[in-house]
This record gives sequence, structure tokens and C-alpha cells, in this order.
Amino acid sequence: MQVSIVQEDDEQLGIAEFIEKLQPLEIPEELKEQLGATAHQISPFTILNMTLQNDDVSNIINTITMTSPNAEQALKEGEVVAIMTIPENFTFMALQKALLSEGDGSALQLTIDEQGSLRASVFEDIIESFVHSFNFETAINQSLDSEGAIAPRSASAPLELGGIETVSMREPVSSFQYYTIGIAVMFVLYVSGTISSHAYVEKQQHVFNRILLANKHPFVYLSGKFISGTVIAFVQLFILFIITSIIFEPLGELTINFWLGIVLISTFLSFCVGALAALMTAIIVRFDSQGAIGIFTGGIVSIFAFVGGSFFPTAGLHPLISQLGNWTPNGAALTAYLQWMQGLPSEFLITPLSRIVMISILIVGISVVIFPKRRSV
Amino acid sequence: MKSVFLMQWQRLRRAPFMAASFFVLTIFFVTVMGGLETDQQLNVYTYSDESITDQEMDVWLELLNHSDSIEFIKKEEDEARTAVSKGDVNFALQLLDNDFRMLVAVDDPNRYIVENFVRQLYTEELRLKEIEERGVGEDFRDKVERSLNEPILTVDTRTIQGESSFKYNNQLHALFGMTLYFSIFTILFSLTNVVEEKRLGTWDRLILSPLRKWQIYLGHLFYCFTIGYAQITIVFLIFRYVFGFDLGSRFGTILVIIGCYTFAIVALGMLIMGLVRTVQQLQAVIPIVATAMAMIGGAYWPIEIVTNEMMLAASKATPTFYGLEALKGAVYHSRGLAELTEPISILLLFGVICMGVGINLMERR
Repeated sequence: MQVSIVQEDDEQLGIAEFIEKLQPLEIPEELKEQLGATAHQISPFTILNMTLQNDDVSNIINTITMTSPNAEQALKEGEVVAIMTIPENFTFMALQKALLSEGDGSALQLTIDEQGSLRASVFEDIIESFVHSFNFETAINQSLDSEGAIAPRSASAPLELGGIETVSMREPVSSFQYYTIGIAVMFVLYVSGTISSHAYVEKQQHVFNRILLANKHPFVYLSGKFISGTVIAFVQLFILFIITSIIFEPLGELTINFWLGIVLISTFLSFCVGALAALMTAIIVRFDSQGAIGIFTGGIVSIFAFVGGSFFPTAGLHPLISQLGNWTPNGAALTAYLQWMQGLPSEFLITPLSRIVMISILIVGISVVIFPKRRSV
Repeated sequence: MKSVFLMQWQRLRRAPFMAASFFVLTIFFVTVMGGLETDQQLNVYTYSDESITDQEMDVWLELLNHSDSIEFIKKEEDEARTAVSKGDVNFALQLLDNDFRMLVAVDDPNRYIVENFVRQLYTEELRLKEIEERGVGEDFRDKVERSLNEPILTVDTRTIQGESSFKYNNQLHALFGMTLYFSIFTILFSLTNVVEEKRLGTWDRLILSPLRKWQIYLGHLFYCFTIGYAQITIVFLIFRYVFGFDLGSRFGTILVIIGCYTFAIVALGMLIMGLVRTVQQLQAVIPIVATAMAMIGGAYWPIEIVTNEMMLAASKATPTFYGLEALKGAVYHSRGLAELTEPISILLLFGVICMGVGINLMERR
């Protein structure tokens, strides 16, 4: 991310001006010298530059010094995401306030574009945290100075704090992996819609009736839909997992054990998709309605995807939503995949997988009840 | 044309369930996404091991909970670990002796917010403690506090367009995104009638009738346009007057934008209609087109957070993107039509191209 800096202030001049201002004051020479030295040390622009050149920051932010009109042009054209303007007298005003408690201090001016401003907010955060820690350090020193003690300044050397730990030995699941799974478990639900939409044609063109005339039990038809839904869902999931693993980022390590787990979860999910296909088929054959497919693919799948966490993790939302999400086929499968990818022991899979089984049994049960019995069509 | 148009309304009257369900879904989603998220506090499970005592932990928790937006809840270690493993929460905080750790299962943007917050708090608190240990007056903390209230440096943020600061409104985003998303379903599924008529042969009969070809098309298109337009407008009106969303003063502009967007989607429907042969294909294509356009165009999450160049380029090919841009311009910045010419004309251009290609493809069969 590129950021342009417009420097309207002359730092050295500001410091010089400040030292000059000290001269007429009625304080000991020694203190004047000391204040002058401190002014060099804490000149905000120098510290700001140090912050921006720090490795962590310079990895994401690249600064370019420009003149004001050029910078505005660059911002409008999207070459830079933000402009930071150091206004005239910035150094002098800041030093005056910090060391003599006079004046109003200084303000850094950030200019961002509405477009992509969420990206610029990263930069804004960095600058704000710099400003905050600068103010904090100065506040400490102001409080200490009045006591006659001097504290070492450590604004540029923050303590090493914090860190990340995972529930297992593996890295946390990345956003990319999360969305691969999230979107995969959502789109696999569309398989049910596609499979069942053929049922409508088969009903219209009397294929279904011919099957009945061939002295087959109607449930043969329904179970055919169930099996084809399961197989297609499984194939779809695996094509997707393999392609994303090859092109983008692997889902996990390349061990038989890991992929067996993925196969296991995918199988359970596929059965549930097959069950949904059977349910949709039953509804269509019974009620002769195409609208049901529209409501399913457009509405129900969107709701499932939302509460199941396919769009974004639901952990931040109302607890009721994540509770509901755990009982959707995609949500339960997503949980299972994520736990497996974190390398948690297989006991953890039991809860989500048994939920998928329960949902599937329920759905199959409903579809058997709805599906027209012999001679009733 | 009128008869074709009216016939579609008859159909809607007989089978109103689908259109009604998308209408209800829109309202449901806007309420859930816009309503629950904003006033929801971020809860962070916090635990510690033996390295600090219970009292020390309580002191830290009290400091941490000074913030309004994040609530740190004390938990036992087992409980927090299980919650993270099971995915009930995406991360938890472990307090150590003068240090902390984040227990992370799934990458979550909120984690960085919490981590930065806790790090800053720890850094400052430890620094204050370090100085206090060297012996300072009792009112040292108060003095620091007082100095901090008169900051030396401040940051002043403005956008280049001149507004004082950018405001992202989650509720309005949910309203715009979800309404535009579900209207795609209503409009495209309404066009299913055309494919159905072709299959049943009614289309051929209509062609043989004294009706002109353009009258048949216009009847259908006008129906789809009306129902889509009505859906979006009614949802906006409901949220404006019943739920009190602030849609700004430019409602006329919004109505024009809705019109252009609906036209673009109807035209897109024509194009899809020209490409598919059966209702079944159509039913497979519609949700994929609608969901993909909504995701890429920024209806689910704000396009501003997307950084991938490819995805940004792709978003520029969806009408959803321009519809949202125009609506945001009209509502956030109360721009008039003159300032919104760019997104609006692209929507119209998109519509004209799709319509042209679509009708040509349909006539070729």
C-alpha cells in the first residue's frame, strides 16, 4: 500500500526556532541545554519516520514524499491510498506543547479517498497508535519532569508482547481456507436444487408415470434421486478441494490420514445433500410446483449459508445464530472441516457429524411422508 | 402488450408464493444483518494459568473492560479451550505474568482489533508500573491522565471529496446489498414464464396472433421490471418509515437509481434467457449468477475491504457494484443525478448491451 507524505514543515528549522524561544526564558542555562537536547530527541517527525520505517510497518506501507498537488492527483488516481500532511510549524508547535506546555500542540492531517478507505484505515490506525504512544510517553515525562526525575524514553522501542497460540500444533485456519470450505459447503447445496428440478420435467413428460407402470416401487425413483444427489455432491466437493489445493493454498498436509478425514466429512455432507434432493423431489412430484425450487435455491440456501457461517464467521453475531447454524448441514460440515483442519482429535468430529446424520434422517423421513404413495398421483 | 403484461399479473396472483417469499427474505436478512451486528458487543473469553493469581487477573480484567466495544469475560482454561476448538468463538485471550497470548483457531479480523487493544493496554500499563516501581508521587497516574487529556499530537482525517470523515454504515449496507441481491431472484425467476411459454408452445401461438413481436417482449419485460422495481422500492420505504433508516433527502434520485438497476437486471435476464434452453438450466443458472454477482459486487460485504486486484476488476463487471455505488453516493453523500452519471450510465449501457445480445440470441432459435 502506497502512502504519500506531504511535508510542509521544516523539522530542523522548527527545532532551531524552539531553542531560540528558550533563550529569553528565565530558567537555568543547564536546563535550557537539556531541553534543547531533548527537543532533538523527541522531534515527532523523526520518531514518526522511525515508526514508518520499522520492519513490520514498512512491509505493508510504502511512503513517498510528494508536493501537495501531486499527492492529491495520485490519491484521485488511486496510486496512493492516503496522504499524510505535516502542516507548517508542526515540529515547533509540538515541541512547545510537549516541553513547555504552551500552545495547542499540532495535528497531523490525513486525507483519504472514499473508495478503498477501509484499506486506508489500516494506515490511519498505525498513525493513530503512533500519536497515542507519543502522547503517552510525553505525558509520562511531563508528569515526571515536574517531580524533577528523568525517565528514559522508549517510544521507539516497544516491548515485545503478545503472540499466538493454537489449539493444536497446526497453524490457525487462514481466511482463504475458511472461505474455500464455507463457499464449497454452500454451493454443494445447489446440487439438490439441480437434481430435483429434473423431477419436474420427468413428471411433466410422464417419465415418472412410466416408471410406475414398469411395476417399480415409487421409492425406487426417490432413492435414485437420493443416490445421484449424494454422488454428484461428493464429486463436486472433491473437484473443488483438489483444484483449490493445487492452484491456491492446500487445505492441509498431504497425509492419507488428513484426507481420509476430509473424505469422511464430505461423505456425510453428501448424504445430507442427497437427502435434500429427495425432499425437493418429493415436494415437486407431490405439489407439481416449480416455485419450490426457486424458493429453495434462492431463499433457503442463502439463509443456510448465512447462519451456517459460509459468508463470514458467525462467532461475532448473536449466539442464537451460531446455535441455529450448527444445525444446518453446511454449518455443521463447516465446523467439522475446520476442526479437522486444525488437527483436533477425531472425537471432536462426533458432534457435528451426528448432527448431519440427524438432519439427514429427518429430511429423508419428511420426504418419504410427502412423496406420493402408489396410485395417488 | 397490455394483455401479455396483465397475463403475467394473473399468474402472480395464482402463484404469489415465490415473489412473496423473496420479499419476506429481504426484510428478514436486512433486519438480521443490519440489526444484530451493530449493537452486539465483542465478547472475548479470557483465562489464565498458574503464573498469575486470581486477584492479579481480576485487576487486569477490570483494566481491559474499561473499553465499551469489547467485553472480556473470565473463563476457566478448559472452558475457553473447548469453546475455541468447537468453533463457538474464534479466539480467546490468555493472561500471563506481564504478558498475554491469543488462542486462535480460525483467522478472524476481530482478532487483530482485540490484539492491538490488549497490546496497547499492556504496554502502557507495564510502562506505568515500571516507573512507579522506581518511586514516584502518589498522584503520578492522575498527572499522566491529565496530560493525556490535552494531547500534543492529534490526527485529523478527511476524505478528498471534502467530507469530514468516511462513515461506513452497516445497517444501510445490509439494506442496499440484500435488497439488490434478492431483487435479482425475483426478476430472473419471473422471466421463467418466457421459457415455460416457449416449451409449452404458447410462445408460438402468441407469435401467430396479431400481436407484434415487440409487444410480446415488452409485455414480459415490463412485468419483470415492475415487480422488481416494486420490490426494491417497497423494501426501502418499509425500512425508511417503519424501521427509521436514514436514507437522506434524495429519495427521487434513489428511485431513478433503482429504475436503472432493475433495467440492467431485466436485461441480464434476457441475456440468460437467450443462452439457456430449458427451465431446468435456468433454475441452475439463476442462483449461481445472483449469488456470484452479489458476492463479487459487494452486496454481502463492503467492496472496500477487498484488496485482490483481480476481484476488484471482476466487481466492475457486475451491475450490483454500480447499483451500490450509486445508492451509496445518493444516501451517504447526498449526490444528485448529475454527480452520479458514471455508475448510472454504466448500468444503462450494461442493460442495453445485454438486452441487445439477449434478444438476438432468443430470436436465433
